[in-house]
Amino acid sequence: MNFSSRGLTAIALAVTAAAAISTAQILRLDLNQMVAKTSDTVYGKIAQKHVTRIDHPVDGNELYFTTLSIEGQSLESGKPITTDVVFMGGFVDAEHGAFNSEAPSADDTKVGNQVVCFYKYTENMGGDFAGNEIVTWHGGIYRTFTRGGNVIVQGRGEGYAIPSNITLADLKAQVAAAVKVKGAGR
Amino acid sequence: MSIAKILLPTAALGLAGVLMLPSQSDAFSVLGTSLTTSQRHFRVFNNFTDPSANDNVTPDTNFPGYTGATMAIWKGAIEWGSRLHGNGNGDPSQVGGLGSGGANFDFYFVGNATGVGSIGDNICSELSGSSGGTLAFTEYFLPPGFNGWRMRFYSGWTWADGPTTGIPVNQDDLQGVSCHEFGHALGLDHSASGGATMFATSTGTGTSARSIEADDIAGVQAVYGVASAGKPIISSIATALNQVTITGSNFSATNNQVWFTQATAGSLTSVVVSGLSSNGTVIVSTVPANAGPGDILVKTSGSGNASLSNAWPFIPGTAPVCPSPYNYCFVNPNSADPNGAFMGWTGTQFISQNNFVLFTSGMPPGSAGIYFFGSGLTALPFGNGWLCVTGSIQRLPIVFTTFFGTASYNLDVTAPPAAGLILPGTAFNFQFWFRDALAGGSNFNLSDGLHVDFCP
Repeated sequence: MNFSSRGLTAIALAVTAAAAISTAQILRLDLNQMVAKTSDTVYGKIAQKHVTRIDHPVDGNELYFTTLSIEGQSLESGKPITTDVVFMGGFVDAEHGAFNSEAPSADDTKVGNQVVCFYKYTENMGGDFAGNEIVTWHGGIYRTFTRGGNVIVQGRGEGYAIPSNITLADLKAQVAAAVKVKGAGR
Repeated sequence: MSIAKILLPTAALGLAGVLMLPSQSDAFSVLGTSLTTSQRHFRVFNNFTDPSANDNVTPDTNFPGYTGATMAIWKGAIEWGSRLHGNGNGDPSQVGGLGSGGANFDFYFVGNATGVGSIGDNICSELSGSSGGTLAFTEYFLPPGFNGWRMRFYSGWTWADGPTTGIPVNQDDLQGVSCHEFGHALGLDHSASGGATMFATSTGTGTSARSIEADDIAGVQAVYGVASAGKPIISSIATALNQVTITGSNFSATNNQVWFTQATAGSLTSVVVSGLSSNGTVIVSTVPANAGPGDILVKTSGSGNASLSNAWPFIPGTAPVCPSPYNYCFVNPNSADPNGAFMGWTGTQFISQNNFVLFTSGMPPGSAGIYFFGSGLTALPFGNGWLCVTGSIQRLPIVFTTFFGTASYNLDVTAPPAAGLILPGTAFNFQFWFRDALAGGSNFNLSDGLHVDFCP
């Protein structure tokens, strides 16, 4: 049987795509799909962190929401911003709070961390709590580090919007491109 | 052909090959905790608002008593069980395969809840509002406060209860998503294995998460241990009215418990019958009045993960249908009553209660007579009346009619001639023969016939 190199590449990519399909409980979003869902994307420092408890007559008691105040710049507009972003879970104090299976880890959300965060304003995250929800929670916040003068955004692996490490400069460019095609995705 | 044109597809094929390899066996991660045997129950508060979440109204004998969202979530939990749940059916995508964990661990369903509950109440429900990318989540505490969980499904998504996998692309599969969340509830974190149910991200409707994979199985077995040789096993059950006979293995000689699902929505973690003995393979338990369809488990006298059996589908036995006795045949007038004599009864036809009483009215007072019975029905002129019973006829002792022209007889099914003949499931026909000299003719007459079905 005779395959052209282009044919082999196509087959390989198709097989790769099929192999990568998987399932679970936050949506699998590539960067374009992630940006399509966001109100904005921020790169900055987590300046503050606090947890709110809501006891709701319908949605139930002990709904915990962690709010991170991030000071930095928008990756979509390039302008400086300070914004509050939210995910479910967290502890008011050592004895009151709850872990949430889809929340980012405590390490990822430490005050002082420099992060990239994708967020979207949501009217009701449960318990009538409104805020800038981190899209896909643990899948929407990424730690960064500096290497050789470059800021590197730490990828989370297969299935995430930023699967592998990437420079902040490259991410900015990709986000800018994605902003132009917003509207795609589920 | 350039080197690049050869290397690029070769490298791509190589990458594809790597991705197609079986997932690494230790890609799972754990939360660092586990549920004790008394925390493995779950309930469903069925507040799901999408019609597609409750449009499956077809009963399933492996998930008795519930349909819709509750049944779908129940299936998601049961997949983590140590053995097949009943015959393992209920999911068209894994026929005969529900119950794949193989660990010292089994979730069990204890009925619907009446509210969303608190963290630690082990209740699954819908949560108002929406999320940009989170479908569902499980809330829990970690040691030393870890004592259960709560599972929420965002109402912003459109939930589907299956049971087929062919759900519309804009809907999300309750069974598959709950299967992932139950993995969190039992103590697993997200897995790095792309094909695992515990992998973090989702595409499509989520139905492929219904079946746990090798990495998930390795995870639950790492937390609870591979199912021990001594773990009690339920392999079949037989139900009767208010009673269940459980057959299996590894039951304790004494102090077994049988755990049932509550009959109505509420807060019970299970309905328990304690102090049961066994020969090791059979346990007979009463079924409490507040037990209903759901799961049944055996907890042996030991402790630890291996002391609780697999969950088995259970439907309480129902009272056997016992037809009422009925009159038949003909009567002729007698000297005391122009309408003739008629049979009646009081008590019940349940052999276990032995309280059936034959009764006859419309006869001359002070007359001698006998009740008799046989298995056959007939209608033949006989004396001044009709013979309505045939077959091997059995006669009961002589009785005399009262001043009011009535007669009765307490049928003792434990004494001759009834003993050994009148048994559960048999049917006999009864009639009363009585003297009637004042009427002349044959000087005797008969009542009509009474057909009686006897029950356990």
